[in-house]
Amino acid sequence: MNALVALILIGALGFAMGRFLFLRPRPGTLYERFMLSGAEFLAIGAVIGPSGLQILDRWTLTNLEPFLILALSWIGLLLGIQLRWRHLIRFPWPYFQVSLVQGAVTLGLCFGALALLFFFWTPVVAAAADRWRAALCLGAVAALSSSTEAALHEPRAAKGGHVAGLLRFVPAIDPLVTLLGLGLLFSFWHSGRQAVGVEFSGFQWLLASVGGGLLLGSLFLLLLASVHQSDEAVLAVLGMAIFSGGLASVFHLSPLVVGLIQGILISNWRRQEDLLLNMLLKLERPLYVALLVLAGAAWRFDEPAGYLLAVLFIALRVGAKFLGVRTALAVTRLPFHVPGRWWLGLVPQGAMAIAVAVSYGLIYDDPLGRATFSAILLSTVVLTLLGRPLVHSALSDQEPAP
Amino acid sequence: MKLFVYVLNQQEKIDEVLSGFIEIGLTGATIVDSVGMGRILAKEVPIFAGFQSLLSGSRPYNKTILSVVEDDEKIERALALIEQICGSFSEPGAGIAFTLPLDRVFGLKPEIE
Repeated sequence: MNALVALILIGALGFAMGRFLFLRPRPGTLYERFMLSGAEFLAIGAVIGPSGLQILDRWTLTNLEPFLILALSWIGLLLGIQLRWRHLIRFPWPYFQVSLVQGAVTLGLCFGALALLFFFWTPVVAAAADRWRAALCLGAVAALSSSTEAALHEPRAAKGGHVAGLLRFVPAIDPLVTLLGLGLLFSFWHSGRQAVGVEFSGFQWLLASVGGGLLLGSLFLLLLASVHQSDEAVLAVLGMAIFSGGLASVFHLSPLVVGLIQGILISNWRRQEDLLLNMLLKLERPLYVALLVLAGAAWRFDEPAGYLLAVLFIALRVGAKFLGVRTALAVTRLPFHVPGRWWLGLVPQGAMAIAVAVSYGLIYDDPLGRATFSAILLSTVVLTLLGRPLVHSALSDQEPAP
Repeated sequence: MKLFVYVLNQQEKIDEVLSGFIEIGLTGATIVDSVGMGRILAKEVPIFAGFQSLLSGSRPYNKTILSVVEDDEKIERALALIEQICGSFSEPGAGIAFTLPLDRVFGLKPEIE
């Protein structure tokens, strides 16, 4: 299929179906039974992709990579532009502590366990560098939790209060841990030294990621001074996403990380950033549907290694999340009691996991990289489908007020 | 005798409000966790904009304070105190307060002056 036709069709699907994705269902309605969870679009992609009916062949998928990079850059910008200092300080510091500590411990435990496992065994033949970065990528994904699942199911499950509020706060912040892990991965296991023609150390690549985001953010701050209307904002946001995605792609960096840094800079230096944020939010759903379809198409579901790795990853992630949350709660002085099963609400992993998988899969197309991509997709589907009982269980355990 | 009802949006100020109530002689109240209507009816959930959604529903939960007050003057003082702590009622975020006349009340302990 022609790449442009494919892009138009997938875009149309995104705009048509995006509005029905993740709507909080009214009890007793048909939608409650057949709620769109995102897995449907992964399945559509898998069916029409190269491993399925080949309506989207590998050549078309390769030609659509610039669109994927643009989408990832858009997501990075959206994450960054929300993080305004004057909004962040409205939330108590212990909330941040719980979010960051549980994310970091989960990442560390999962990365450590998988690195050790991959040292002795991998589901496919893999070089040493491939093993390290697969372990780190999965560790970074393990740190995530899902804003969507918490927001979708929490109002009906919760009796209300701080515990439910914390459950919504943590998934909004823990992507920072994941993107830090991803930034380290793309820097210290950089894939494009030959392609780029620059021989940098890992630390220098990390500086390049941060510097690239800051440089582009600064340039766009100058440009944005003349942006006051929504049509100008569309062009400005599109330009920002294309430039940061292009820079990341040329230097084999993660568009998510470069976009995040650019977004943080812009949102904290510009006073009228709401216009840009609204533009980014308008395309959030269509873009995610398109990302799911393309991720599904790129998924080689006929390779069994991904299934095996997914089972291992889910088991490790659940264990690491439990320990991560326990550690975070032990070192944080929260002014309220958090029930024992609260950590279950952080087990679902959502849209960011798919974005990380795509970002990783675009660069690291080795056998273990493909198994890692597959494992992230599968684990996201499984844990999303379990989201409702997990969130209900996490919040139904609240102790009665004294 | 009136039932004084105040829906406090700024949960973090509950201690300050209740301490102030005691200082003005309003010594008994029942506090109920409550949720705004907009929060319940909101249908769209965030995908990547989790933090922004926390801000748009930045006060997702509130506390409803119920107190039986015998003296109308205490109600006026309570209202002034709330405006002092939580801001003017004419501004968004201060919450809602209202009073209801009560016919009969049982089990009410006398207020401490």
